[in-house]
Amino acid sequence: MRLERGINDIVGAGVKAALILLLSFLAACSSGPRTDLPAIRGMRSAAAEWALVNREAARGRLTPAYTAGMRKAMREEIAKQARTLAPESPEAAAVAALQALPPSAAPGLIMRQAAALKRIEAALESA
Amino acid sequence: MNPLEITLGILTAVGGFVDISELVFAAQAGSGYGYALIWVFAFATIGIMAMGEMSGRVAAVAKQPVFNLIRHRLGLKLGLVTLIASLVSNLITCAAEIGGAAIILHLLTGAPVMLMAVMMMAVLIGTIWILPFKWIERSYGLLGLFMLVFAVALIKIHPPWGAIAGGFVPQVPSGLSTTELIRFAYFGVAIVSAVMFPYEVYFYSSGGIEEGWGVKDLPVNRLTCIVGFALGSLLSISILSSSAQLFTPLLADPQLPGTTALEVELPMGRAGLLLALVGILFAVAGAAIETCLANAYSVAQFFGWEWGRHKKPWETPRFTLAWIALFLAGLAIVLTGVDVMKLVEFAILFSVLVLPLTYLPLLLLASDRHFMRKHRNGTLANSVGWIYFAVIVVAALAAVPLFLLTSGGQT
Repeated sequence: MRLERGINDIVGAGVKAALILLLSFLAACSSGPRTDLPAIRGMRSAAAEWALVNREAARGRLTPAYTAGMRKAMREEIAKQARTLAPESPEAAAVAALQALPPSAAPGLIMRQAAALKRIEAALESA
Repeated sequence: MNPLEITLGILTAVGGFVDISELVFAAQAGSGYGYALIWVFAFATIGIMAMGEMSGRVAAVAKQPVFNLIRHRLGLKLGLVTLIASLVSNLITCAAEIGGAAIILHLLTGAPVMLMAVMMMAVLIGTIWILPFKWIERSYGLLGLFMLVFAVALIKIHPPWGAIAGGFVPQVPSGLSTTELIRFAYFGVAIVSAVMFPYEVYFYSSGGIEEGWGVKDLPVNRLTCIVGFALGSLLSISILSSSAQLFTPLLADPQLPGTTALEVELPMGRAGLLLALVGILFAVAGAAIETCLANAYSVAQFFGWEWGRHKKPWETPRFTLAWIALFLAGLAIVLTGVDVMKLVEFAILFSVLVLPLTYLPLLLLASDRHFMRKHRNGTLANSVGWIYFAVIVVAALAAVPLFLLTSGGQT
């Protein structure tokens, strides 16, 4: 019983400390987050992965099922993240150009858009 | 000790070490921070070696699995809290593994992901129903050895071995902004959680009971945990290192297990890609079985039901219903269409919260003179255990704030 009470005390103190920490961090979170950054980062990476898949597919090193599945997944990821951006935001233009590319677009074209998103990402990070 | 049995046990531990969370976080850690997070993998691996060995020793000496002892030694209230938290954590993890396996099958065959998820679950249920425990564990663990192709691929790209060795030294990269520092900390916590998943000790200790371990098996238990987990961890570190070498210059932070397979394709071509996908498939499917059975073991042991795959399924009806229901619940989560990578993030988050609740009772029980007699923890095991307990408490306290501040590692 003593052991059980001791453990309950430890767990109780831990839960209280976690709540206090959580609340203070939530307060910090609410002050001006760069809300577009996760979406930009996700789209930049998805574009880079899509370009890599297309590069390797062009070299004949991937299977058709893999190529189609990866292209679809990456384009869906870009579309999902794009929906979270404000339409008039400066990054929306770069994303629109990326989304306009066909699934089998040249890797260089896709990488150009990924690099543009990387520049936006760097600017947001240093803001 | 039978050398063949020892070798198979170690190989099974190696092949079963990497799961979907480790795969994703190792690749992203490498592309994001180069080799700077290797030491966290090494640190967490020592932790799971220590805790795994303790759980196996408790099973072998006290002849009781961890959750049975939690229930009787620590009381109903705290035991129930641990049980519920573990069930939630393991269920999300199981869903992530099923979803991950379905994605890999989709990439291999081109068939729809949802159909592959249903098929995968049917195969997993059939496997557990038909095979005896030892071969459930071994078949997936040994087939997971296809993952060794990641280590071969790393060697073939001639990485900077000195820089990789330097990654084993605890460090925080210099010049990171506050945002990046917070993200680095999130990845550190996520890696600790992914390597020390609670389901691993529930499954491992219950497996010890299934296989009838006794005191004579303690050396094998120690060898499996130390050698098997160390070699398994080297696979994760290979994935991280290849990612740092190949993906960072290409601006890619691998978001899907399919992208991670490109680490092997780039140096080894189409055959490498297929081997990597097959390895990931078996590693992830094996982890799905472990998480599901770990949950069923926990419930059955807590409530004192008949359990175990050493018995026929109809001889343990409630246990059998439990693991089938848990698989169906995991599949139902995947079929809602939820993003599998989100599931991975939540699995990591919930698991790290459960870690202290899992490892505190284990530490206490492994040190207990009444239960463990002369096989209780020595000074070294106790010191290591309590150091890791302190670390996982800090990790658990930091996990939710870090998750929120980084939007699950994205910010």
